[in-house]
Amino acid sequence: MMGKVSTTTEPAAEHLEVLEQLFAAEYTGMVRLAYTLVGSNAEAEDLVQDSFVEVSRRLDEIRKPGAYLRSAVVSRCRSALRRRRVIALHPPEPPAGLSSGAGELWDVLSDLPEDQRIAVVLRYYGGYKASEIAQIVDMPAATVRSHLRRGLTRLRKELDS
Amino acid sequence: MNRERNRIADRIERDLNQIADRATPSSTAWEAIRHRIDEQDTTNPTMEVIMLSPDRNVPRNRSRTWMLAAASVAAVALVGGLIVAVNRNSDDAPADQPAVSVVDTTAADGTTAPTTTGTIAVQTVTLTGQFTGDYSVSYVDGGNGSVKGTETWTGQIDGTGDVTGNIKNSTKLGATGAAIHELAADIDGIGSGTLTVRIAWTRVDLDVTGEGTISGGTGDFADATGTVEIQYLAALIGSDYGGNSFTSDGTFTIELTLPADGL
Repeated sequence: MMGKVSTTTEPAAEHLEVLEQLFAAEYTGMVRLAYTLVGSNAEAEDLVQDSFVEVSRRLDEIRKPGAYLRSAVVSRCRSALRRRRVIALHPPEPPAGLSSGAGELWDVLSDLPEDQRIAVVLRYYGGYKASEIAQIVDMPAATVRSHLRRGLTRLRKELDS
Repeated sequence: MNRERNRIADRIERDLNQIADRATPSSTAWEAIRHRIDEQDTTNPTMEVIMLSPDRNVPRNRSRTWMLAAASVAAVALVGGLIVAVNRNSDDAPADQPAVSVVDTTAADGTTAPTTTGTIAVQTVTLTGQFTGDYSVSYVDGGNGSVKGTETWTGQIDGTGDVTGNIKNSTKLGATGAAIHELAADIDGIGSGTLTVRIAWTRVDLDVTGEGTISGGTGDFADATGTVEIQYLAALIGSDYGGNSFTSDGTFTIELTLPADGL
């Protein structure tokens, strides 16, 4: 007796419909968010698309696909930032065409520890409260506030100088 | 103090929005996601059991031994010398020829697996071994590296399936690479056909697809000198690693898809 057994299944039509709605609502925003963290359009899209695949795979278990997607995107961005640091690859160049102020912010953000960077971007670009960021990044709110405080202090110091 | 705080906050908001405006989401992103999902559904070997056919040239208990050995290799990911399970579908195979294992294309539910080329029935030979030699890796972040095929990779996988932590070689999302796989024994006499490679990593749930050639060419396996060159694309899949560390020893499976009359 021989043969192959595979557990993979095709996604159901309604499954795809939910994903498509999620895509329409969230994709652009997620790419913009990822871009502010990783600074590469191709990588941002790759991370977000990968997150959609993750959502697709777990859609039956997820109660809030949008929230899950945000967490997945931010987590992947964090991993990407860590990989860069660990394997000492070239840091991303600042996006072209930025004003000097935005370029300066980019440089300082790039130097922040990734958790501080993520907290700052989610707070000041995403507009999330610390408690919401805590849910997205799966950290205690107090830890997020600490990251925000330290990140902001560093930004203020660097940008003012 | 509050005014100062607001000033810096306003500036950060403004500049971050300017940075975000540089993002240019692709107009074909949905199609790309659909493709990835479809690809995952067709290539994700989440649980695949390859059972070896009885060897027609040896007593049945030897065949069972092979089945157990193959299952053990897959289950515990033993890193050792190349294990080639070659079970030739030929009655005139010499006794000292490596065993040839012809994987039946009949699925467990009795239907025929879609492993046909045109109208030609094919059979699949499964070779199991490990990577040897160096291979190159290019990262999605940019940059290139060289990795020992036999090197143990270590790292942490976070809750979404990403690799973090002390991993410096490969297993990056979207990593591409090539490996040279030295066969322990040549496989001449198998015949002509095409080679497809499905790399089933052990212990790490990777979505890996690849194409391979034997001895730098395709077609006549009779000319093979025992080298399989593999180009592959690897991407981590799955998410339930619980933050545990993992090692990947690169055990993989090569499937040779051959016309039936080539055996």
